[in-house]
Amino acid sequence: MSDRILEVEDLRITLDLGHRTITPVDGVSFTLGRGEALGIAGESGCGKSLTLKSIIGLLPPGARVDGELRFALDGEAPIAYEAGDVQGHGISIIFQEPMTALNPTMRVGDLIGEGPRIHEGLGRDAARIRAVELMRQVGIPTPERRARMWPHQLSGGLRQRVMIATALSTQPKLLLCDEPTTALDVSIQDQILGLLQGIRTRMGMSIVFVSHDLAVLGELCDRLAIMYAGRIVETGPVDEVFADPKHPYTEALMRSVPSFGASTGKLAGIAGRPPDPRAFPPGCRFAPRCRYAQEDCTSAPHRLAETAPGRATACIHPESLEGVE
Amino acid sequence: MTTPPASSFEAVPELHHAAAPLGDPGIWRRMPKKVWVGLAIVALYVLVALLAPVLAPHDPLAIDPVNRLAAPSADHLLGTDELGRDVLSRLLHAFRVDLPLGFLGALLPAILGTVLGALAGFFGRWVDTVIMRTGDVVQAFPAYILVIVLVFALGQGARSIIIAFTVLAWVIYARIIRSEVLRVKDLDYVHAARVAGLPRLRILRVHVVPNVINQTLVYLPNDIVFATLALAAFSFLGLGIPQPTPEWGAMIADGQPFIRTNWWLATVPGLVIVGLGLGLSLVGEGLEEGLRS
Amino acid sequence: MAFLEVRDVTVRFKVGSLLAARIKREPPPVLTAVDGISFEAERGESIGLVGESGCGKSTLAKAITGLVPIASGSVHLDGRELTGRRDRNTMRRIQMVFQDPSSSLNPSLSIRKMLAELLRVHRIVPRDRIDDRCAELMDLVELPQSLLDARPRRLSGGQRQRVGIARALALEPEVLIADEAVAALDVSVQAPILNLLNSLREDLGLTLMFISHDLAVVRYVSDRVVVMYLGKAVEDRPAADLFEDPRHPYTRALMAAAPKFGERKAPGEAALKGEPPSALALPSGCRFRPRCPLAAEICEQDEPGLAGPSETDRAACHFAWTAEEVS
Repeated sequence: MSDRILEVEDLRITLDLGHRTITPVDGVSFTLGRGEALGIAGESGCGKSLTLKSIIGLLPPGARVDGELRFALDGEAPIAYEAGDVQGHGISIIFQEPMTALNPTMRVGDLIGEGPRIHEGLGRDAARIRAVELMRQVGIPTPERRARMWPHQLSGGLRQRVMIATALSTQPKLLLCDEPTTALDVSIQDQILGLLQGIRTRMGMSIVFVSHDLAVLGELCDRLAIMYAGRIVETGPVDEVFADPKHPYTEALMRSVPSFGASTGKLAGIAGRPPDPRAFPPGCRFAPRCRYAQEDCTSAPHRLAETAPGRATACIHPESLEGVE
Repeated sequence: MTTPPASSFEAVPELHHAAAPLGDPGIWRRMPKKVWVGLAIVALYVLVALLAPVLAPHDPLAIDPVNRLAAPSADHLLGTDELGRDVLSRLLHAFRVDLPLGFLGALLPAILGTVLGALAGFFGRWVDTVIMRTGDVVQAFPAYILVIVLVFALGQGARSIIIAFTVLAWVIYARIIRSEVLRVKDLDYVHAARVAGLPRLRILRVHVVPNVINQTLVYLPNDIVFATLALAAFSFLGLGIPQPTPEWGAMIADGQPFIRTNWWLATVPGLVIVGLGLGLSLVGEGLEEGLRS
Repeated sequence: MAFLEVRDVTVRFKVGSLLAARIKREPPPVLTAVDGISFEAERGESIGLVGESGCGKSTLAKAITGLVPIASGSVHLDGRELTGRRDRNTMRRIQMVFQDPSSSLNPSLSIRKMLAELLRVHRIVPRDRIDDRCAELMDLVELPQSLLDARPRRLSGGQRQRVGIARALALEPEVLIADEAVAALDVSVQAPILNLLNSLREDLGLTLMFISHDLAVVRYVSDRVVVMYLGKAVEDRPAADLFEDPRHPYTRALMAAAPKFGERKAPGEAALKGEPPSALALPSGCRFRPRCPLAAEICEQDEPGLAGPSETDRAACHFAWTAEEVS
């Protein structure tokens, strides 16, 4: 049995906007081991959400996908697959907005039970029992009563738990998380992260977690991939990336985040804006905003080069980085 | 609880509501083609209306009892009606009646309804109650009965028709605008205007109305169609423009008894109405798509 | 007498039919969003207002600016009480920056028109100087002049927030309230805006009230922090003290819950369990009691008020100044 569960190779997503096409995801590659949690970090427009959705076949119509996606469907080595093979069968996804992600015209218990009914052929009563059990597992108090409620009767935190229960109902090997805690209060976010960590340890599930919040990724994930302008610019174990970033964008991000322990000196921020996907700059796409940019940066082809086992960066001059304190 | 930056493939976040068309030149460039097609059709109608006295070969009111119900000929391209009048000339002159009445019959209720709806939505409480309940009462009455009563009271003619339309049709605009105003009222830029101590009517005029007027603009072309059809219907019932003024609805009514023999007397005015309706529908649909940035 | 004083302010909203409740002999369906909050700020001070959704912090901000009516209590600025009916000059003195860049600017006005309107209505500068002043405001928030004639849809989120700050500053206020002003922005864009707020505060002598759910951001910007929970202030301390040694269990839980670099989440662990109760059915005694690790009998009977060594160093917990650190 292979120890890899997901392989993404040279993923390219092209969107047709009518009068022109853009390529918001442009050559993304990564792998995921069994039971591993990978965090994909980046700010708005970097393509992280599209990358995630392509894994489970949820791209908007008119999107073209190039490159290879391989998933270990039957516990063997990862192989190429269709969306229908994995939806409800091995891969599940949870979204950011609990308000819009749950069908408002279905009772919560029925929502959670729908997956088992369709994919495992469970009857109505058996599905209901399974739903209540799942609700208990995700920490929803008085699940029997709550199962009969409608989504709008639940708080944001409970709705997110319902979404997680729904995702787990088909016993996935891989859980995709698209900013699931961004819209939640800090204390609820903390609970959900604890819940996800618990599920992961108990079920040996693999996770790909997309977020713009580095600290959140740090709490949950083993490895990190930083995305910028459609590409991955750095990868590595989470603590190493935080302590010693090897890409100017990662370093700049770390310097922009106000954090508890850090001194209250001036926050850095990054001048300028991310490039317009309609007109990406040549070479390194971060070069126009990079304080260490050199002449050869604007003609450098994109390549993730290993700097140490398990660590890679797309920067061709990582030695010039000053580091974070 | 907090909204992170906009969707994943936008480098520049777009505003989530339609931009107001007033004064924004870019908006017209982005309009779907059908708007221009529709406007071209409407422009053609307006042109015909303006040029009717020149284009019409005969006097539309000239009676010629000897030559009644003649078939189309070189002299009378659409033949003559039951009083021997040239149908084509009457049709062309009817443009000068139906077009202005149709437009006014939609525009005046739109203005009245927009104003009342904005006041109701913005000031709320008793203003809202009074305006909306009045609207309920108006809508509860069968429209045609109300028109008949008004026409009897005010006498037949264009003026009564316009008044009748305005009294009846403002309600739907008021409802649309009121609901939009309720939405916009709670947006932060209106809060900012209030915090800045701007006078309330100014806030309504400058900050609220321009951002809700889209709905009126989208509904208006369709309403012009309705108004024109309503006018035709009233004329058909004998409540509209009094004879002998040519008007499409009246012409349809007049031509109806002869549908077997001189079918074009009723059909051609009908087709003309359809043409206008088509043009206006294209404009309305196109505006709705184009304004939905 | 402090520059800005909030005294026992209470804000209520009707959430159902009063008549129906009276017929059914139920308690009136009134939500008390802000329940007797008091604090003060000196001129030029920066106060951070922290809390999660439903705590009432935004409502309090709206009450201070006059956007929502105050049910009881009062707000005082520079010795004078700010009543429900404020004249234009009074409103000028307290201005607000809003959270959502996509709805904080009027889409049908160019930036210049929006700023000019404010300058004109309040007669801040003579008519012939309005354009100059607009240019100065753009410089103040570090935006290029070319954006003056653009409409909001052309601007990025960060640029729109800067325009929001320019708008607030156009009226030359003495108090600036930033209601989650950076929450909807990317991290790399937040930092310059926070720096801008800090430097403007110093240069213009503004009194800043920074509202946020993000403790780390609040720490970066504030001299003092007020923590809110379910409509009440539970802690009011100098920022450095609060972050080093929080005295209210809720504040401690909030800080523990915030994700930090270098920390790893243990399975099933949560700093604060459960959910806040409905504001329409508050627990007796201390509101935080059902979720509090220190809860004792006294907490059920006796709702603690803000108390402490000084007016600006208080916490609302019976064990605030006696209990040892609870990990």
